[in-house]
Amino acid sequence: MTESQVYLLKVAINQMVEASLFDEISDEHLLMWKNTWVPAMEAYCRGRAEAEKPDDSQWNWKWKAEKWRPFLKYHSFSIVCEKELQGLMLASDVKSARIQDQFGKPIVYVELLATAPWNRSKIQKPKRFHGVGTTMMAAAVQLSIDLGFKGRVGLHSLPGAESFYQDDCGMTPLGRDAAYGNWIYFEMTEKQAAEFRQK
Amino acid sequence: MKLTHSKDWYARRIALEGDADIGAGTIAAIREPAVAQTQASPIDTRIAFGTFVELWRRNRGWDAVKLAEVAGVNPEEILEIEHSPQSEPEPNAVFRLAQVFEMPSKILMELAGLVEPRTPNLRQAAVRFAARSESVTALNAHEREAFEAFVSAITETAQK
Amino acid sequence: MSHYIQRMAENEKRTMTLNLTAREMAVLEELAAKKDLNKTGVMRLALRLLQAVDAKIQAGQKLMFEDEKTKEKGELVML
Repeated sequence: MTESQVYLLKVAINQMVEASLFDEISDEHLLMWKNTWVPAMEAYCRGRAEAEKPDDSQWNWKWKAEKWRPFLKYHSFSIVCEKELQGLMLASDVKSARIQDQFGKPIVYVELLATAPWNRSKIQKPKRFHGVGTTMMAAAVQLSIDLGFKGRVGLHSLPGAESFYQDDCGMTPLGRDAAYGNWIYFEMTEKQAAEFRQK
Repeated sequence: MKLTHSKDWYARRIALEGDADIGAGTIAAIREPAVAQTQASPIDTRIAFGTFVELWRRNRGWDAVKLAEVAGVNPEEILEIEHSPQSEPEPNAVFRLAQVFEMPSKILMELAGLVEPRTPNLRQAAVRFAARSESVTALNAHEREAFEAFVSAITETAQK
Repeated sequence: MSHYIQRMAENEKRTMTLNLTAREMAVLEELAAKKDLNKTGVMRLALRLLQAVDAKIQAGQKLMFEDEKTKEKGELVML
């Protein structure tokens, strides 16, 4: 497991603070998920209608980990800051690009990406940290490069996050995907990846 | 896999992030049984209880030894309460702490996972409080606010 | 600590000599060009796919392709 130094913005002091990105979701991270994310999510969801609950409120990362770990095609990532779990991501490397210019070429596909409940303005105002999304996208792009995919990445955006992927990451939206809950599919080209890494 | 972006890179990119809640995923992603509704696991509120005890004494500028002295309990008991949510605290210790804190003992007992949860919203308030608190030596404004909100939430519920 | 060392060992690269026919090598090179990967990249992709597909088939599922226009389904292969 490799640890990289990354930075998040701590809202309370409006300053960048050091954080760690791990290229694995370890049992320790899963324990942190269970002990801190799950109760916070439950507390938020209690008494709320289904439509108000976050789309990932039922994601069982521990159960998923047992399923993905045996497979070469899956890569997992976690972010820890101030000794607390801030973000989790699962990606796979056997899907192909859909954008015409790179059709059929392998991409890193972001299967799941979630930030801690306290990092969401829907759940907590103000949120504790900004930057989990940015850092995880950086990780997906780097993984793509390491695999020889030149930065190509694809994902389905959680509703509400579309402008982050389109405007901030510079990805191309390819429309709603009926096979994936009607969420919008985004893809990053080599060129967009290079720009993302520079800006 | 290693990331080597500069702090500056993060600062510039994160400034663009705005307030959106970011995530990705698909309903078609690995399906799993829903997260089991936790049968009010005592550990959840005990984490908040431990944090509360720690912040209360730090608010007074006391270390664990001083609090133990005033409450008439072992310092080890205080440390265990603050750092080991998986172990059940001594009911007597919780009772004594309630007296020192001048708070209803039944509420503290509930938080400590020693009695069945029956106070509505207590667990919710406790979990929110714990999620917002951090361990730095002095209470910062953020923590103080969380701490005071929690105290009034407890006193409010107790009065009902 | 030993868990860490084990993971490190798992990710170390090992070398293997691949014996392919001229025809197979041609297909490998063609795929490499198409996918914009080197030959090792193509082989690794193939390995991952085979592992994933095999697991599904062991679990009783079938590998199918669907015609987007006609919605006709056809089985890819019996593995």
